[in-house]
Amino acid sequence: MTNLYQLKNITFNYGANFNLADVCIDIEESNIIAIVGPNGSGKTSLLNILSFLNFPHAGSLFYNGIELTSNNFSQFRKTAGYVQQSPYLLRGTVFKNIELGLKLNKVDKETRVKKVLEVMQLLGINKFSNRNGRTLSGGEAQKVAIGQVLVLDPDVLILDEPFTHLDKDAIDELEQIVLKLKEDLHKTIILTTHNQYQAQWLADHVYSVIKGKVFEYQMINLFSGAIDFKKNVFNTGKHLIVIPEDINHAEHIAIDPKQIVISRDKLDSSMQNSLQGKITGMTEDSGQVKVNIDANEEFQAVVTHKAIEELGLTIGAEVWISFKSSSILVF
Amino acid sequence: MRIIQKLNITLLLCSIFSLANAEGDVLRLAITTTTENSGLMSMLNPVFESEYNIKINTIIVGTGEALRLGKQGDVDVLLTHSPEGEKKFISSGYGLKRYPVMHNEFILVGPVGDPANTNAASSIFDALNNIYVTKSTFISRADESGTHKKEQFIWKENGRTPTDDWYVQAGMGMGRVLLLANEQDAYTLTDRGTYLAFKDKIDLNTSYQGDSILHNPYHVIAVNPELHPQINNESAEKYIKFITGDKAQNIIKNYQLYGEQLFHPESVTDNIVLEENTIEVSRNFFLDATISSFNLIVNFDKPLFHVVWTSLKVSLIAVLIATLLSIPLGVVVALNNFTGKTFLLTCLNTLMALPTVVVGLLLYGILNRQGLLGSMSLLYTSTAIIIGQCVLIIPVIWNLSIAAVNAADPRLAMTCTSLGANFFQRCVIYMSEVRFALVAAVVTGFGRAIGEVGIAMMLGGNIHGYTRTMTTAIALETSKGDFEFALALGFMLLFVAFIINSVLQQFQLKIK
Repeated sequence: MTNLYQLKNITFNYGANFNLADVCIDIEESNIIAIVGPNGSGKTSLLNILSFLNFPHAGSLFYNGIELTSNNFSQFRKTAGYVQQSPYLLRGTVFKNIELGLKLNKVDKETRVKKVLEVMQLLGINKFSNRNGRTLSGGEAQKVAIGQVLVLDPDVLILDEPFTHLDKDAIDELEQIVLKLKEDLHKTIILTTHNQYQAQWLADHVYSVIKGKVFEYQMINLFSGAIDFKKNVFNTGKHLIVIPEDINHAEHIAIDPKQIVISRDKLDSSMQNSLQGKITGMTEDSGQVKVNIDANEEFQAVVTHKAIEELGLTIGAEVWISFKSSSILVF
Repeated sequence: MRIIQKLNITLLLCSIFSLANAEGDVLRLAITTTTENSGLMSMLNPVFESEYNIKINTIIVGTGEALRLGKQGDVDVLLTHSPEGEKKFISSGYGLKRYPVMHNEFILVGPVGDPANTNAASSIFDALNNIYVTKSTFISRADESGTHKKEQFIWKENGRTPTDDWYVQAGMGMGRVLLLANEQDAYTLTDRGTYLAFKDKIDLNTSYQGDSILHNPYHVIAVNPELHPQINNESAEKYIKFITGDKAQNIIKNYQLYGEQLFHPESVTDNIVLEENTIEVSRNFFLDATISSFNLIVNFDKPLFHVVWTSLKVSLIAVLIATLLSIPLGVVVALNNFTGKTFLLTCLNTLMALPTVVVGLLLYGILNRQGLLGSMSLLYTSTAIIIGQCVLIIPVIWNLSIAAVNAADPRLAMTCTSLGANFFQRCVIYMSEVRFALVAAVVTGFGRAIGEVGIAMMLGGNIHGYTRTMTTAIALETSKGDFEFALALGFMLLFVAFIINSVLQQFQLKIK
């Protein structure tokens, strides 16, 4: 697989005190990329750069091996189809909405009809071709909006929070569409989401954006809160978590899932953090098992099959989770 | 469907250009409001028009304004009643000669009890002196009209300078001054014609009449063609010959209003007979007027509907032109950021409050004979009103279009970008998305155009059958005391507004 995007030390300022700093990532062709992170972290700015809407203030951006300059930048815009959060559909039918982009690009009528029908078939929205764009549900509108850009045949589809405000069935359907776009059309799909677990199973790569910094690994067990300096703990609002000493500022913590120990009883060990919870899910993932534990907050631990067997872990089992302060990333 | 729409626009545009060209031999006659109000001209002018085959465009203004129009060459002939002004006009070389046509009389009217005892006065000087001494309320027109000048002359001769509270300076036309005097139980000096027209609507009595000082002589003057080559002197001379001739003079002599002779011809001897008016005063005149106005509407009164048609035609063309200009401008301004945008928006907001008379005045300065575009002969044509109304409503539609685009969903911008729309396509998409609000902007513009009076009056001249619109006709008929016609027009104006708004409402629902 070849690298479609290469971002080298990209910096972009958005708003008074916010900037994407020193972003270095590579994105491969025909992959699904999920970008997670809290609101205001810089996700949208990153998307705007990846969709060639904003030119980075510093650093180098390569697409298909070509370095982008302020001269050739706008030529790349058509290679990425951007679907904004809660998309806006125009007056008129679904068909007309999808057709519009082709019309604007002066495609002849015969080709337009053919392409629109293809796209609607692919997205499973041909049954409401004649409905008014304004009367659609959130999930339907999202699919039509994807159709609007897909009909222009971009290499990359950029979806900003496509799953927000959708019910479960709509999310499932949309996830299937995203996978289909990758498998059948070999599109590269870059999307943002709030749901870490969804990002994890849907995407080939997950990037976390926190306060303008992009992390190449995904942030599991991410919590927001503030430090209580007297006790040297991090208050998530639901738990007090002991963190490494000598940290003077933090708004987020992330706990490495591989460093979380699961036990039937409370462990008497050197690990400062121990919480009681209940197992809510277990997923096989490349030879290991991801275990979801509800301990007032949702935690995820990665353990071996052997450990599952030894402890006799099942969904619904009452367990303790323990982790050292040194396994916590504070930022 | 598209072909029909295009055809309609072509037809409208054609009618815009045809409006500018009045056909045939046309004589432009300036007369004063009181002359028009008397109704005499509608007896005289049609006789002239058919006899000489010359169309008369009558411009109804105050005496001072009439003389000024003559001075500028905006009219061919004047019929005025201001001896001093006329003499000066001739001596300055603006007019050739003045011919006496007729005279009527001023009378002093006042409240029923006659608190200043003017009935017993020996002369008009005596009568006004009584008012001064008793400090009885007196309404002065205070508008430099012939009536006002006469009143000032009497005060001056008396050696009195009225300044106290009892002396009200109205600055209004005769009809409105009579209504005001009636409300305030005050005296006022009026011409007999206007008083007779208003008699059944007011309680004022004739307090003093018959003094020769109160004669109000009318003269006809042809404007000097040497100063203004476009003057139709040939027709003007024909008119003078006509109005001082036996036929016209007899019409003047026999003309009666409410059973009384109003004018006394100068070349035909007649005896002044003053009779007590016997018309019964109807206190319910407003109700009567309302009923009569409905009769006019239901019976499709031709003059009424002609005025309605003129109004509609003028305002619809103005709205069409303004819309074609303002909506694209609005969309372009809203979607662009440029230096001076805030300044432009402030200007547009200011211009939305532009008084119609100011637009009228500015364009009058440009369109009159001495003005920048004077050579185009646009003043006192429908085209002038259309231009004025365009100037009036372009800021309105422009500004409201900007507001409409600004109120569009913010996500629309991104949708346009991601679909690869260029600037022109973006404008079209925005227009389509906010068309509901754009139609509302047009409706607002139309409402302002059809309801305005200042521009139509100043630039159209309120010419009967030519540039008389609903609003100018209402203003005129009210001053004449013809409330029936004025009310009927008022109802028609509302009705037209209602119909237009209903149609647009339907349109809006359809495109929603």
